Parts: sequence; structure tokens; C-alpha cells
Amino acid sequence: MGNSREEQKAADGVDESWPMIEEAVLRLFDDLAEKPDHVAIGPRLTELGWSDIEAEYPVEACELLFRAQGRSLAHTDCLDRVMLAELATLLDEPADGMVLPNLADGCTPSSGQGQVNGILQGAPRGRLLVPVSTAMGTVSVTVVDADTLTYERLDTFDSSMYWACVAGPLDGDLIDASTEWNRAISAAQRALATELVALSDRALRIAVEQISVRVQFGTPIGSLQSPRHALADAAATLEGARALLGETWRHGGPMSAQIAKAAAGRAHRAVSDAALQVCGAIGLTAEHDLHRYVARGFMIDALCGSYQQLEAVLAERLFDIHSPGRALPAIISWG
Amino acid sequence: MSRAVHTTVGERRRDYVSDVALYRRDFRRYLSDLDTADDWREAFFGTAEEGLTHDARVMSQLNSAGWNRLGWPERAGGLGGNEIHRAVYYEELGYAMLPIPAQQWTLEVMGPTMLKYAPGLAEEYLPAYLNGSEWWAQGFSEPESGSDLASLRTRAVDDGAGGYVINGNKIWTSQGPTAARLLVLARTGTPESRHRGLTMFMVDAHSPGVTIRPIALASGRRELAEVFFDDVRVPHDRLVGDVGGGWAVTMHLMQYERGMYGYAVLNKVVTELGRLRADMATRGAAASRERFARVYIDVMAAQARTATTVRKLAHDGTVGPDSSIDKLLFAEAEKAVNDLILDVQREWMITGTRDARVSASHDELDTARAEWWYSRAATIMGGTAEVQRGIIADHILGLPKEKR
Repeated sequence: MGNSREEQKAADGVDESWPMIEEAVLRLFDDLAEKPDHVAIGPRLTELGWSDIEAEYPVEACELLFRAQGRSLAHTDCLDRVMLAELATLLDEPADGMVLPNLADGCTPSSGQGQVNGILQGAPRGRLLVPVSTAMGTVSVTVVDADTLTYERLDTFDSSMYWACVAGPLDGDLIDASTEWNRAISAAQRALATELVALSDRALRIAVEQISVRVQFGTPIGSLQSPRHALADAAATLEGARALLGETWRHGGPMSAQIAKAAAGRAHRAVSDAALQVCGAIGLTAEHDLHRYVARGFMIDALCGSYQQLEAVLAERLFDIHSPGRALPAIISWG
Repeated sequence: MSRAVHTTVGERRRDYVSDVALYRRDFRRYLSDLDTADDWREAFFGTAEEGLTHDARVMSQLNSAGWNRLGWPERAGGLGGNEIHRAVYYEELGYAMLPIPAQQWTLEVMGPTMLKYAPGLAEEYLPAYLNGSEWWAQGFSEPESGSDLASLRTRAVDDGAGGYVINGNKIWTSQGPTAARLLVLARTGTPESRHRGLTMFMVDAHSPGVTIRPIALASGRRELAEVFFDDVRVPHDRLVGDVGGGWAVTMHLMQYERGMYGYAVLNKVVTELGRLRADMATRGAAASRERFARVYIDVMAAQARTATTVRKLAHDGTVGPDSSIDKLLFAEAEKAVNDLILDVQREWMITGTRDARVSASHDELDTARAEWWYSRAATIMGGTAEVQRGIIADHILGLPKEKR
């Protein structure tokens, strides 16, 4: 029995303290979601003793933040933190935010040739890390003062989000960061895919509740075959994406992260489409919650490669690596 | 070479059981050195029976070398290990782009259930299954009982001397025309007893009173059979599970049919997709590449899902209604791959020509067409996609029961 904690941790990846951590984090994000502001979450996580939690549960802790964010619809700088963590070793002092590639550029930094360009989530603040596209598809990074950039708030599909288009001169020293950038992108893709799955879970749950209580023709419409099957199909697609994501968190490399994010984006679309149909007119209204999870997912899908962009990249890659007699890459690892 | 490998697998059995990565590495090496691999890879046949005969030889070869015995218990002709060894076995055949012997499909569905519910029969007959000298078929569906399996009417009556007499009619039996034994679900209770009055039996296909009528699919291949039971005597030791316990046996089998078989068959599907990639890479087809990537992602998602089920089965967990999600995902992925092949290679599939020239191998073309037709069955057999959606709606989503 003395070993039971270790044994259970080995079996599930977590032990009995985990449910308490999970509850505290979910509660934190629910609190944050009460406010419309974009929140720097660092201080709030420090109050929970986050560095110890991260040390003990490196994968589960990160996964939990994005699951909580999707569920709660809170606005935080979690994504910046995840990417900065992969790039931090390159910097002398920490950065406060991350300039993300413009949507059209997918995973490729939009800054280069003396010009900062990209998307910032939340208000301008402190020192921003800027990834820069350099020669031959390599990536470097530099740090700029937020004061030196111009900001234009973007007119976003989900109007509750604070995304700004940033621009300005690029004049700091460039540090070669191709390897670290690829890691930061994979980490971001795992995180974003997790958020998409959490958003989809909520959308699906809303639809299940709606059709369970909505009565037409003298019966809950959830007892009619067509809406039942529509949601069952969407649920299956979502579970496929969740399983891929689980593989990616445990064992995944860059291609696995791309695939997981593409699958999560597709699954979010599938769940959204089914939920919007079966909820009927009420599901399209501002007074009903469904649209919030749909619209947020569209935003999240668009970052670091939308499902369409990632599928195109994957298509190219699968044919680039082809050689006669070679099997397609496998994803599953038995650990 | 084969003698050395033979010794190696036997000797290293314990290492392979405890270290699945080592098993993978050595099996991969064996396959890459195998001088018959090219013939095996390019073997196409004009009939289902010839295909099974060829695959039985492959089973025999892999069995005498020891490789397909990992993942099965020693008492049943295996070398120990669990479902994960079997998953790796299928992955490595896929990695080498080698077709998986068709007997493995029915083995994955029925083998685990026999080990659990009829260990004596499993010990007696599974070794022959693993070495390719026999294979079995499932007798569940009936002409009047397809999706509504619990309404089946084939009867098994106690003969008063400890045995049973079976009368009735089964249909849609995969590998039925050549199967040596049949796993038959029959009614031992009252006609109204639904799923409570069912019992599972193992029946020799050559027993007096058994008549097997092969059924050709639209491809012309005799993939299925209808089986008639006319006063077929079955001894008491051919019971699988308890009398009246046939539904529990069936549900246990379904976990494997929807999870483990799904994982195995997805490896076949990935190999087919790999062959398509080779064709597309040499012949342009740039327009279909993004669709190829989408289908590949769907296959990977289904594989990841079924892998979680394989892990549960390997740790003796029960899977239950969750396996309906696996079934839906892998069946749809299998169809999507075969549809992509049909669309990309449409000229060849429709007229047997490539770039307006008549292509040489009729058997290869016939096999490709047969694969497409058989893939249509993916969302029908083992419980239709509609049945799976109903299970998901009830047991996973918790929706109100369906109004009928």
C-alpha cells in the first residue's frame, strides 16, 4: 500500500491530489470568464503553486489550462505562455507577450525584412517576443518594446475577443530559433486543439440538453432518429479527435501535433454544424449560449494553422516524404 | 535463415512478452529479410477462396517462425503477451506494406471470446487457427434477424443426453464458404425470451445436417454464406459460455469486433492508402492530394480511438457501449479510403485501362473492385452504423429513448 500513490500515478498519469488541482483550475477560469478582459494569468497561477504542479504534471497541467479555457470561454494569455516557454531559453530576460503569425501565414512568422507584423492577443504590454522569417524558411526571434508598435484592434468573428494587428520597425538583434520555433508551434497546436475539443464538448452538451427538453409532435425531439443520429455522428468525430490529441500529448512530434489540431478543427466544425441544426432557431440567437462556443472555436481554429491550412501542409508533406515501398507515417505509440 | 529465426523467436519469447518494442524491431527485421515478401506483397487472386488459400500459407509461415503467436496465450498455441503485441504485429505488416492474412480478421473477432468463455475449445482449436490450417465463421444474423439480433429464431433443443439439436438458418457469414467451424448463437429459451434466451455453440462445419450455401457479393466473390442447420447434433462440450448466457458472450465478442478488429483492419486500410500514395506520386493526381490528407487524418483519428480500446482490452478492462464509437469511426474511415481509391483510379476501376491502355493484371483489378464492394459492408456488418448511432445516442449522450 505504501506504493499506491506511485502506482496510481503510473497507471493514470495522475494521483489523488490531481482532482483538487483540476477543481481549483476550473474554478479559477470560471471566475476569470465573468470579466470580459484579457487576463495575464501568471499571478493567478502562482497563487495555486503552479510551478510545483507543472513540475509534477508537465503534460496534464498544460492540457488542463486549455480545457478550462475552452469550457469557460475565459480570455487569458495561456497560449503566449506555452509558446514563450519553448522560446525562453533564447532570451536574457522574460517576455510578456507573443506576436503570432497573421492568419494567412499559418505557422510561418509574418515579420521579416525590417518589419514587425502579426497578431497580439490582449492589450499591448511590456516586451513582446517577435518570431521572424529569415532566409530559406528559417526562423529567428527578437524582442521589441510594445511602445514601438502600432495596434489596430481586429474586427473578430467572435466579437468578445481582443486581437490586435501589430506593426512596427524590426531593429533588434535576431537570434536563430528554427528548432525552438517548431517546438513552440507544436506546443501551441496541442494547446489549441485541446481548447477546440473543450469548446466542442460544450457545444455538444448544449445541443443534447436542448433536444432532450424541446417537445414537438408530442415528444422530445431528442427521441427522433434524425437529430439523435446527427449528434451521435458528431460525438464520434469528436472522440476521434480527442483520441488523436491524447496520442499527441503523450508521444507526439510535429506532424502528430498538426494532425491533432486539424482533426480538432474539423471536429469542432462537425459538432457546431450538427448542434446548430438540431437546436433550431433558438440556437442561432444571441440570447442562447451555443453561438459563443461556435464562434470561439472558429477563432481558435484559425491560429497556428487552420484545419484547411494544416491539411494542405500535410498533403504536401506526405507526398514529399514518399519513396517507393515506404509506408505512410504511423501515429500510435504503445509507450 | 528461417531456421535461425525460428530458434530466435522461441528463445526470445520472454523478452518479447515483456518488451514489445523488441518484438517490433525483430519482426520488422524478419519481414525486411524475408525473400518471399515481394510475392506476398503482389499476390492477387481472382476468387475469395484462392485468396484465403494463399493467406493460410502466409499464416503457416508466420506461425512456424513464431511471429503471429505473440499476443496469444501459450495454452492456445501462442507465445504469451497481450493485445498490444497483436497490434504491433499488424502495424509491422503495414510498415512492410504486406497484406494482412484474411484469417486474422475472424480470429480477432472470435479468438478472445473463445479464450474467455470456452477455454477448453480454445486450447483444442486455436493452435490450428494460428497456423492457418483452419478458420471459423460467425453464425449470428438470420434472414429475419439482422440489426434486430435478439429476435433470432434458430433453435437449440436439449436432447436429454446432455447434447443439443440445432435447427434454423444463419446468413451473411463472412468466410463461411471455407470455414471449418461456426460460432452459432441459438435460442434455447422461449420464442419471446429475446436476448435472455440465447446460447452460443461451436459447431463443426462438416457436422451432419449443416449445409453451407456460398453467397457471391456484387464483385462476384463468394465472401459470405448462408448456413442451414437441419437437426444438427452438438455435444455438450461445444457450449461457449452458459446456457442462456449467449448475449453476454456476444457482447464480449462485440468489444473485440468493434475495438481490436477495428485497430487491425485500419492497418490494412493504411497500407491501401500507402499503395494509393505510390500511384498518385508517380501519376500526378495533384488535385486529390488534400482529400488524401483529409482521409489520412480520419484514418489516424479512428486508429487513435481504437488504440485506446486496445489498451483497455490489454489491461482486462471492459469497453461496453464506447466501442460503438470505434466501430462507427473505423467503418467510415475504411469506406472513405476505398472511395478515394475509386475516385483517383476511376479510369482503371471502371474500364480496366490506365492512360487509355488496357492494364495487364485482371486479378489485381478484380481484387481492387472486390475491396470496394466489400468496404460497403463496413457500415453494415457487426451492427449497422444506424445501430451504432442509436447506442451512442442512448448510452453515451444520454438522449431520450428513440420513438418508434
